[in-house]
Amino acid sequence: MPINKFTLFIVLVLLFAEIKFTSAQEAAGEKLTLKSLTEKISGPDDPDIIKLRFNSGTSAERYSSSVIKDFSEVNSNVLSKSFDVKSDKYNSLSPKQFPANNKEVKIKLSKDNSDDYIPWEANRHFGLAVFDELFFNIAFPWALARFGRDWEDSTAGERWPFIGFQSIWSNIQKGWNYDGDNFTTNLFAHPYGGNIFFNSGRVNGYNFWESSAFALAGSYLWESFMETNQPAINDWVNTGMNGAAFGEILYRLSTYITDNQARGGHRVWTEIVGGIVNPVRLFNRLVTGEASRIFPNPSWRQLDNLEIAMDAGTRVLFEEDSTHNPGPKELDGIFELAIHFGNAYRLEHATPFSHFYYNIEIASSSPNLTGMNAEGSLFAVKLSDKPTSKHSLETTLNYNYENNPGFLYGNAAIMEQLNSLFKISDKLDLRTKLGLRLIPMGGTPNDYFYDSLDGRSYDFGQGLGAIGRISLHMGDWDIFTIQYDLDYIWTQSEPTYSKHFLQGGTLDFQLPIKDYFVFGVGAGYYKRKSYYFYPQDYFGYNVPGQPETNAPDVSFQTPIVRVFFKTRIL
Amino acid sequence: MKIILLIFVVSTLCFTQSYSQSLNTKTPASVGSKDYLKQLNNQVFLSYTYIRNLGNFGNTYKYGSGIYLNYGKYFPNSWLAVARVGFINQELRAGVDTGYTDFKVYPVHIGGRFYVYKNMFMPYFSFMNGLNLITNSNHFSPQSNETTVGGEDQFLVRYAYQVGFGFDVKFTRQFGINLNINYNNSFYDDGDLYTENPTPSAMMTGFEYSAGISYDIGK
Repeated sequence: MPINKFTLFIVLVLLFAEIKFTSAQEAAGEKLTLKSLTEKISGPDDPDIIKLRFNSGTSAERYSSSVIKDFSEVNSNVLSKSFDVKSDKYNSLSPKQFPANNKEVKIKLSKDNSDDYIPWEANRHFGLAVFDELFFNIAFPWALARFGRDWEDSTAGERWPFIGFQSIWSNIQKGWNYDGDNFTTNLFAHPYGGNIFFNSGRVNGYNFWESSAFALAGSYLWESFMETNQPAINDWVNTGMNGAAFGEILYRLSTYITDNQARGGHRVWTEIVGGIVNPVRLFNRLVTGEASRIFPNPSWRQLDNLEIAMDAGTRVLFEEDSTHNPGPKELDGIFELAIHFGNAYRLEHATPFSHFYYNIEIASSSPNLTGMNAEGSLFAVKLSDKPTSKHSLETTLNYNYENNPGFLYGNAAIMEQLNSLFKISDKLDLRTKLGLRLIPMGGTPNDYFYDSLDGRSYDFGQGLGAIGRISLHMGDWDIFTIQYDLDYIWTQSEPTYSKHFLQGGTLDFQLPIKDYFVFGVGAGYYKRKSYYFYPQDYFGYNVPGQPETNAPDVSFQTPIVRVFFKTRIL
Repeated sequence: MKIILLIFVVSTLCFTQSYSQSLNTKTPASVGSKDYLKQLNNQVFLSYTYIRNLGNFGNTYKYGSGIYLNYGKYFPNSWLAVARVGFINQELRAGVDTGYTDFKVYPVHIGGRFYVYKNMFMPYFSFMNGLNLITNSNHFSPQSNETTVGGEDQFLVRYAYQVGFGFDVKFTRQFGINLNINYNNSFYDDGDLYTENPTPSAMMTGFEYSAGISYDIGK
């Protein structure tokens, strides 16, 4: 079968790449430990004097630094130094601490420190990262679809897993388009899949940006090679961007749930729950033995940085059409889990997602998954840090998913925001946020379109948006919050004859009853105004074969009232 | 095709030459072998590009050719951030009438390269993306007997990306050459499946071969 040969070819290429990448990483100046250095030693003449010959004919410059003066020169080609490796200072050596010019370095080892355990995620592991990526999110789901479904059944739909060189070449020739999948598949399932791609890199030692490349590359491979369908750019963006946002949050949550110092039943259960949150990480921990090893937790894993709150209550949705006639009223039970990691107003930013917000909302009626939002910091600049006020400019990566009977909207966005904190008293402060959103991909309903093959009834497009938020913060709680969002989407998916203006506003009060428990009420609304301009010869779906030229603009608004109790778990 | 062969021959010559030199440990550092940081740090490169079009777009436009002006900034340990602008002219196939005589693309792209090996010879993988500013216009010669009336001039802005690989060869600290091969995809025409006369989509897809010179402009 062509695919098996092709898969074999890809695996061989990747194995070859693994060798090259590993040496490239070593040459690239990563931190080297004594253990890894001693592995590079060949044939020491004296067990106490180790000769290190760096394979650095290419790039000795990275070894040069002011530290060179610490080494004594034996001759023009040999430099030597003795030091106590028990000292923490030399437990991990940067290549920059070694001298330049491709010289030999003699290091006297007073103790073999090789027992010190180096966590798997402390170094990059390209081979396992590629295996995780190819197995968990490409080979396994493809094989499941190809061989696990009865494709002879007439209701099975399009035979997309029946790939071959012909379909791959066809996809390369055709290029990107927008697909016809339903809203949940495109705006939830793809970001979740992207999280698997992202974590294939993240749990193998790659940082946020490098792991984002794993998400984009994995999605690209899937779209171009693993489906007979034309590659979909909406899938690529939703998998790559939203997958990175979703993936980094799940990576950090999983790291919080598992405890490398725990033992016994507690260890087993935390590994299981952490594995449910991040299956790729569990797989790696099982493979490397870290699931049962006692070793230090990452330094950023500090529980006082994490706040988890749950609320349960009731939501009433009032639907109105464009003439403001009241539509059906819907009463739902709502459960929400909200997670804050770090604090944007502390002005502490070290790495991407040094602080993030994530929430998920489950409704009692369909669609049950009614909301999910993620926001993580990418960059931050401190503008002012005074006792009475603080200001910072922050760039965030945002993923939004809203799916309720009155409002459907999802996007991947990058936001630039100004965060300000004004101190009123010791326990009371006013917090504001003003932001502008760039939306590479947004999806919202089209009132005159339905893809009968795959079920898409909404438009995809790029857009711009803005947010304004003010909250009065007391102790650990926002007592009063008002927020307004607006987005403008220019449709790019076929048919392209529409634009959408979306707005949302919320007003919330929370009354603390205990330190860990509040009673809250909230009101809000969603509003969508869609503009249509179909050409004369457009043949619509609502009445097949009939022009859709009379399609008027549509306006929907959905007021919402919420009553809830909220409790803080952490 | 001749251009492709020429690029191939030049690439092979450069590769073999630079690889053999990279094996020579006596190569002076000033020639480039241990100087990659300075070589890559702050460079400008100018390249000629040839695009062999594919798919429905390739049925109308045979090939594209043009130039890119690139600026690269090195980020340790293996990354080069690249910004570029360019000009590409698409050549209409003989006998095809699109209603326009000129099809020009002005790319404004950003992206990056990941160097897998840094020496005098530096291979890399690259990803670029950004916007293609596209103009469709008519420029009939007044002396000609053309009678075709084209459509109104068009100006389109479309997302584009390319993914590929290539290599730099540094002959001195300042000067080098660059060759790469990329797969290109730019949005152009979604087609229209829902009209009386449906048209299929025609995305700009193709393989791009470029060659150019690079110059380090220092700090």
